[in-house]
Amino acid sequence: MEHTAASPVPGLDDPPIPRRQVTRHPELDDPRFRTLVRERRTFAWTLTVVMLTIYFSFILTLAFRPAMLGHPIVSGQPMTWGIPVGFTMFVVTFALVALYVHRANAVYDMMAAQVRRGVEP
Amino acid sequence: MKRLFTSTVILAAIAAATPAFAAPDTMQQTHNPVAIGMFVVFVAATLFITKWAARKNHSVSDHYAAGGKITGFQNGWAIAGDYMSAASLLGISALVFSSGYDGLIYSIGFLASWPIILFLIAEPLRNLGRYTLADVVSYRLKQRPIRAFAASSSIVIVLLYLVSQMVGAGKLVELLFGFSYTWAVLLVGALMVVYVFFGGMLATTWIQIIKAVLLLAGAAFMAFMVLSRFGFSLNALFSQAIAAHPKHAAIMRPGGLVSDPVSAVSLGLALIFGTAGLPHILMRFFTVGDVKAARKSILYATGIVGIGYALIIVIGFGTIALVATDPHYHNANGSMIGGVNMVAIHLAHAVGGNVFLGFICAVAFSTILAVVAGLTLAGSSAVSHDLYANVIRKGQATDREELRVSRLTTLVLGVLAVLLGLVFEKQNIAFIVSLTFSIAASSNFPVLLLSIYWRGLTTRGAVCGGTLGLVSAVTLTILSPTVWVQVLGHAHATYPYEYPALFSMIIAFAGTWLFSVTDSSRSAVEERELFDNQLVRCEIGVRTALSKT
Repeated sequence: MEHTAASPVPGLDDPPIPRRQVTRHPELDDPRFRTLVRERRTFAWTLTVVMLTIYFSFILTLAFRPAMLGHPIVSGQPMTWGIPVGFTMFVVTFALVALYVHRANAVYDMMAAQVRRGVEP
Repeated sequence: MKRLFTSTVILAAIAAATPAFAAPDTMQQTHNPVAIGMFVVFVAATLFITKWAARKNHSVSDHYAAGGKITGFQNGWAIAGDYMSAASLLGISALVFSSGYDGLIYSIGFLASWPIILFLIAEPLRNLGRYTLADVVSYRLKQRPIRAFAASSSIVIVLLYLVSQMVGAGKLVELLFGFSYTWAVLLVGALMVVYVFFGGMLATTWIQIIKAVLLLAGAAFMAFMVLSRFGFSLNALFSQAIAAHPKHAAIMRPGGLVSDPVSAVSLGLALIFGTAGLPHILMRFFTVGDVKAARKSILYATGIVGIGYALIIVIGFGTIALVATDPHYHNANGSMIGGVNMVAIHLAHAVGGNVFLGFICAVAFSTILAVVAGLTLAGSSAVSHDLYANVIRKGQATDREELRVSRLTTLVLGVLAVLLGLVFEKQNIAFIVSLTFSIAASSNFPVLLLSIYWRGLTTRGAVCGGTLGLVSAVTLTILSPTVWVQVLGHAHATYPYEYPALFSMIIAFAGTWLFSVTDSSRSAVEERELFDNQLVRCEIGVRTALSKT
């Protein structure tokens, strides 16, 4: 469900952090927090690398081997490999987004909620 | 305030109604009553929304972020409306029209930036910031220098982007509705000020949502009609396009757009990382309540923008097949009426007659209005929230004062946008969109990314590195063939490549790193220590009881 109007956004109205008297957040010593950070960041950066690899493979193919994408799929017909490859790029982009959203909703939100509950009274 | 709204609207209406219909005589569609009728209906609807939104627009939070009450679904549509500018519908179809397959390359890059924003930027942004990206980077860095930097670079991006939209709007309205260029620019400037001044983020959001729905519906109908002419066979469409296009089969292959590898990678970097530094796009994530809604917005936005681009590519090939050889859409000397950027508009006439032409004209115009409104809001919040409230008043300004400055800035931006639109009327501004993406990828993006993920970042590093990135992106663009040779008329370009991002991003990241690691000041030590606490808020989005003391 969406955020409701009644509950304010968590933490938004906090005063700015006071300088020179840094109090360490207790969550930092919670092993579940460290697991959450490690797992989510590994997943997010892995997907980033996947996206960048796919995207720059496409761009570099354009730059170095344009003929590969310009080759007709069926000889004599106008459709070249570049067309389905290009549209597949759209689909892959959306699929990666959907994959991340699914995992974040299913796993990371729950882990974050546990960490929050664990420290709050 | 209500009286002010009414009188401004009346003024804008007079401005819209009085222009001598100094129609360019080359255009057969001037005085198209359907187009003007739909345009009036759209403007009336947006003003009605603005009036409704103005009643709910009280606080700074309402004005900048619609109170954080936009849902993920709504925000997804609004992001699509904010992101797909006239450059998308008209520019990409025109690119396909002139060089075929190359049009796909731009649209793939524009879309591929969304996963990057989702994986790396959106959630920390939502958890750490309130209204501007400077909120995020100033979380542990020194407020005044870092906000001054982030606001300046955001304002540069906003102004450049506004120039491209204003010039596009002026030419479009001149052509479609028969106003003179000057009146068209004045009208766009007046409307965007009214939307943002009174309606704030809520009005802007709904205008963007409506525009996105109209754009997608219009594009879907046009693509459907194109395909129906060819028995829903892409091969038949492509065959006809190849026969009609002077380059023939070459339109099905990658062409000259990314001929050399350095330019190719540079363009790719600017497209994929630039979006993550655009202030009007980042601002949209503050309008939703939590990270879950922020993620959902990106899921919807990626779907909508992806479908939109796929349709626009079909439309682009449709323009080759149906418009390129039709003398009805050409001047006597064989040039396209209104220039190549109008091919999608001509296609609307070819497949749907005058009524659909009128609809697409109104859609194209609404596209520009929605984008300039988002830009104006982002620019005014950078001035009022970052420069005024935090740099000048050191956080002591009241809500009321900040809001007043924000509205004043909106007026100033409106005047500036109109003036810039008039100054650049006759200039070749095709390079401006890629320049804005290059600047965003080389200034805002590195600073934002490193502030979230790199403990070692210090204020000095962020300000120096970000500024180096901005300056080098602008300098290399000026020295590139596009500007140095084609705009300024010199014989040879000092910088041989079309796009700066490959070098300016390296300069920005290297500069930020160098000026951070060599920073051994006391504040730098504190800033690194604060990273752990930032990490907690960044990941779980809530400050605990202990840290509030």
